[in-house]
Amino acid sequence: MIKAQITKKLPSFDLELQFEIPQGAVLGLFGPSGCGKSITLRCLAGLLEPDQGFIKVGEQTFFDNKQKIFVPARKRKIGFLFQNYALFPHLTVEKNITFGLKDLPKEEQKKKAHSILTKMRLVGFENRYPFQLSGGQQQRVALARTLVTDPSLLLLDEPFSALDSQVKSKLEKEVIELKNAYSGTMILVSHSLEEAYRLCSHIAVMENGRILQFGSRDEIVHQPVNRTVARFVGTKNIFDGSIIARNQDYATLRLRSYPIDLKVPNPNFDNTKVSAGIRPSKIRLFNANDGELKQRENTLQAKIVQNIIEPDGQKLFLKLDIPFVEAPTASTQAIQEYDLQVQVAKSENLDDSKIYHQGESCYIQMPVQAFALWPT
Amino acid sequence: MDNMDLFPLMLSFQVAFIASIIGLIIGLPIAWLLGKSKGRWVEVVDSLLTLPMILPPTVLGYYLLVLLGRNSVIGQFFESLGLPLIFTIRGVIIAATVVSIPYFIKTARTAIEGVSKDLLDVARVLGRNEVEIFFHVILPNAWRGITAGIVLMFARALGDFGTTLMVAGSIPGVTMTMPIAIYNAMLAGEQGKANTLVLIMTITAFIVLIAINLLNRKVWSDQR
Repeated sequence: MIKAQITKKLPSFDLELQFEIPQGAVLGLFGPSGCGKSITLRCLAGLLEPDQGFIKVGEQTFFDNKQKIFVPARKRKIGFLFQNYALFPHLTVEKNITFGLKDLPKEEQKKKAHSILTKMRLVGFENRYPFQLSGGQQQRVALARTLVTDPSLLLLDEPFSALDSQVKSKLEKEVIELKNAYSGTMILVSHSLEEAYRLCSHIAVMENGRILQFGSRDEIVHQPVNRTVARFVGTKNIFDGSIIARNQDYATLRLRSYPIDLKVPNPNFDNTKVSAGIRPSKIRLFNANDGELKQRENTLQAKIVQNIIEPDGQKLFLKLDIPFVEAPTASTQAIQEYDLQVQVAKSENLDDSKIYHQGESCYIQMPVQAFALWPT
Repeated sequence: MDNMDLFPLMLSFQVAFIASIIGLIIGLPIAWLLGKSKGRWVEVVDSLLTLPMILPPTVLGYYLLVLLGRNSVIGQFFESLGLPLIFTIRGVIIAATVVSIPYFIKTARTAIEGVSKDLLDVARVLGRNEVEIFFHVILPNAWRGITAGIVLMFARALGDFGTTLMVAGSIPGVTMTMPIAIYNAMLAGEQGKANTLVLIMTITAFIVLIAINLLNRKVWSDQR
């Protein structure tokens, strides 16, 4: 189990966070650049000392300012994988891997290095220098160098961001496989939601040195607790309003900016002023002549303002066919050219009629359970 | 040429060699500490260490005379040991070290700072202490810059005139180094001797520059 509660004064903000994850979990620290993710990782590794708080990994206390404990990085036995690999340019692959094993006899070092090289499919590269390897190979060597020391905690600082997407997904797969083989705990820093979601069981969304939301990956994506988290995780459509009626399994939301009511899930909090968010992929889109679907809840008529065709579907920007009463917030006022963003998948047959064109009219339907609600 | 006194030549190379070794031993730890430390005091110390590069050699020589002369505590201490400092070869070595060490510290510090911080952090996480990191990570990655610093320091020590003259005078066969011999030869109208010595100094300087350029070029090609 890893338990941490740290504060640290930084030039632009104060880092102030706490979290607890079970042994074997994979935690993703997710947030925009400069939100304090990497600094958190450095504090855990012992490369930076927090001002206050404590860090406990299993039975060991690595930091506790009240007890004046600060275990330096070299004594923590924590694995750290850097974004730019940080291989020693003057050492061969094998020497890089045995760098952290200096306390073992030479024979043992060679054996361990060979076994990890085999596992990482790097046999034959022992005597190469880092500059003779591709980016993906370099990162595998860096991973091998870390794992060979049997760390109880593995920290990954944007480990794949310097790689192209093909190598990246391959390496990600390898990391997941390794993760299953090695029971240690992993903490990964990422500014990509997709990457964090694929690799992590838990995600902490961070901004300005604080954790905005901590939870399972699906909680984070489908139940954001506030507007900032919702925006970070890609909830493009957000409606503000007030709950005017509550039922067993749904509630009625009167929108502030449009003269309509939406049927949304009954929120598990008492506030009446709420925001409801829906992801672009959860909105259903259909043609004007599809009469039966019009009877469903939350169905609205709209016009397509812009369509962007993507490899696997379309990204559509829609304007609702209802008058706009008031701008939801100052920040969205500027971009009121559209009301909704919808993501549609490509149909299996490449039927051109399924492509929605700019200026076309259509209907959208927003399923009740697809909404996430949070108090405004 | 036949009856030319080679003593100044030998003395200069000897002194530059010893001054470089002393400079390396003192300067490398200083460059390392300056390279790894942060804060305002670092720049203050760095400025103090750079002062000998900026001050006129005579001013520097004057300071050394005051500090090491017969009336100073240090001077008297060495005098009592029977090893007076000024107007001896020891004075020549001290003068050469003081004028040349800033060149080494500056170059070595830049080279040490050029080693990626991530490499140092990786080494820490992999269980190595700071001294091990210096020998196993910093030195192997910064040796070219450090060597260039040694070469510069050697060249500067070889060519010192003003400070050496102030601290050690120009006693023939004792403290008269090559630059001083050139000056004396010129004053005495010994054109041939002056020409030879000047040629040796020029060739040495040229070789030094080539060595530094080669070292620097290797640095770049390594990083590609």
